[in-house]
Amino acid sequence: VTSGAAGSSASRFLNGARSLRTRLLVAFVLLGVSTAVLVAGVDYVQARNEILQRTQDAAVRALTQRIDTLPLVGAWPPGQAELDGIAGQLSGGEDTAIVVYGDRRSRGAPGQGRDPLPGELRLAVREGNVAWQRVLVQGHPVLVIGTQLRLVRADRAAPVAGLEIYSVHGLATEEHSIDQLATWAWLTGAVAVVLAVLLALLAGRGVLRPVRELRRATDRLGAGDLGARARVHGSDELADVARTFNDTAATLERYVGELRRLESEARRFVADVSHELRTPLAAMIAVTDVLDEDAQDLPGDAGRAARLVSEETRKLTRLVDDLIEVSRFDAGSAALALDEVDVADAIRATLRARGWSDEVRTDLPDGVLARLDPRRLDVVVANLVSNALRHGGPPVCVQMHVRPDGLDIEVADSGPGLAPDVLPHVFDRFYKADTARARSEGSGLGLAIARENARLHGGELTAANRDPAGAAFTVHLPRGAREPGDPR
Amino acid sequence: MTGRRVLAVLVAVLVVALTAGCGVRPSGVITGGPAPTRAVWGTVLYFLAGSTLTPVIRPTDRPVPTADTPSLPATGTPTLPPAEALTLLQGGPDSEEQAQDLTSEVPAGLDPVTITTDTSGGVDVGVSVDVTTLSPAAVDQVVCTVGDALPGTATVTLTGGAATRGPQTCPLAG
Repeated sequence: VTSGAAGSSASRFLNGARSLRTRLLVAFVLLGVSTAVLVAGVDYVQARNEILQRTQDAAVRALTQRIDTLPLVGAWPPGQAELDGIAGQLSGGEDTAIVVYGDRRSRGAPGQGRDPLPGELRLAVREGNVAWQRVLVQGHPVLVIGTQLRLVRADRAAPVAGLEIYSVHGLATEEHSIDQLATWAWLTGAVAVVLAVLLALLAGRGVLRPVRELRRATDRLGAGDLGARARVHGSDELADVARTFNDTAATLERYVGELRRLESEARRFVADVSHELRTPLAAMIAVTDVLDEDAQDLPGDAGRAARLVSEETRKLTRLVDDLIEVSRFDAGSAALALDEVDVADAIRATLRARGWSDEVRTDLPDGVLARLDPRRLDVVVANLVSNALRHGGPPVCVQMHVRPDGLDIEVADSGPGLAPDVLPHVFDRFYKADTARARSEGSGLGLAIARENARLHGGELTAANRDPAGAAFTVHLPRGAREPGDPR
Repeated sequence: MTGRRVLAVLVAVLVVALTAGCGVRPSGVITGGPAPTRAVWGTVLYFLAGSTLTPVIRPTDRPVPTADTPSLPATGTPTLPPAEALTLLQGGPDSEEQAQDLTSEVPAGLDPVTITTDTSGGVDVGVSVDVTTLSPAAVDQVVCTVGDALPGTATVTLTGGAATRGPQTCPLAG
């Protein structure tokens, strides 16, 4: 359709009639109007032509009959009085006769100075035939019939002489009838248009209701309601669409359910494995403690091996602990144990417990109290600081800022900072920023756990680069964390 | 066909139908059957209206339709014989005809007249005056009057005074 300017403007027109309802309405009205015009118009024209033809034929017949019953012509050529006399006898009713002989004609002809006799009609009459023509005289249609009255002698074929006789027949009655026909045709058209509009609205409703329902179901599905289904009406194309939609939604629901099941199974598996590992690890830790004590007494390789086993066992324990922690978050079973905490004290206690007090500079305003889970705050700060010490450069600095809506705890280092492609993934589980370093001190879950903890408090953990160098992790905690199930 | 073109055609049809179709429109000339004729009963003379030959009918006694012959008889003597017609022609237009400005250029004194007919429709009219003195209009008047009074006439020749005019045909014939 869209070829050239005409095509593009046509599609513009169709786009302009945006809604389906409007387009249906336009199509129905066009159909109604064109059908009405065709039917009423053809009827009208037929009836009009029939009326006119009957009238004309009747008028022509009447005129020739009157001419036939004219008294016989006496002396020839006729004088003016005779022309007037013949015209008088032929006139009557709606007819006015004009009798012409040579360049003389009967007096009292209508037309008031203007010749009502059309020239082409006179030419046709002189050919020797009866002829008639409709003309407008002062805006009113009249029928002008013309004929010769040819004089022949009884024993001759060729006419001796002749008169021209014209009859002007008014068509006012016929015009009135035809105008009434036109009025009826217009009324028919108007009724047809009204009907078309009603039918269009009806059809539009029939088509648009399923469409609307389908759209509503689609919206619900798009919003995540996988149980959304469209109602199927009847067995038309729209019902097919609704059925297809329902099938698609059902398939989607099944697959999503399957994926969720698999995911939860995988998580449960990790949780189960972590739990199962705990008991043997506890035993191993006990053994490595003993080994550690004897390690310095063991010679050479045996001592190094003992220290290695001890170290790796501790890492494994940390990894398993972190996995169990993450599993709790995934299962939604992590709970806050809130307490009124002096935040600065809590942070300093964390640093002191890990032995980082000398390495880390602090800027912590005293006396800031907040309702927090102290264990989780400890985990967050410890993970962030250990991350900064491991990956960032010294000095590492912990700052606290009191904001109107809560408080920010910022852990900043002065290292190279985070690469732009690392930044979006820094909280991903087991994400290794430095791929060259296959193993690291941490479990790879520290930042993820820190963020889950911040979120559990209704806060957020964000990472950014500092000016001029270094990375900064900021924990935002709203003032007074919400108790689970306590919408404050 | 694009939607726009369909629309244009539709609109054009509507406009034409609505504007051109209403009311009683003037028509062209419609031609019917042949014009009616009327039998006349009389002698036809040809006089002049100005310089134009014009037929004039002098009614003869008309047979009255009877119960036996309800319509006009097709036979009989509807017209006077040519010699008598020429006599009437020499008499010139009567007062009524003069009132219509009819004149004649045929002089009196053509009589006695002899009419002879040959087999091929040629009519010879012998008159008592020198035909060279007759004006062309007068010759036409005589030729037409004789031709009209004598059925089957093809050409008419005027003879008189050792001269002839014609043979010629009536300019109004045909």
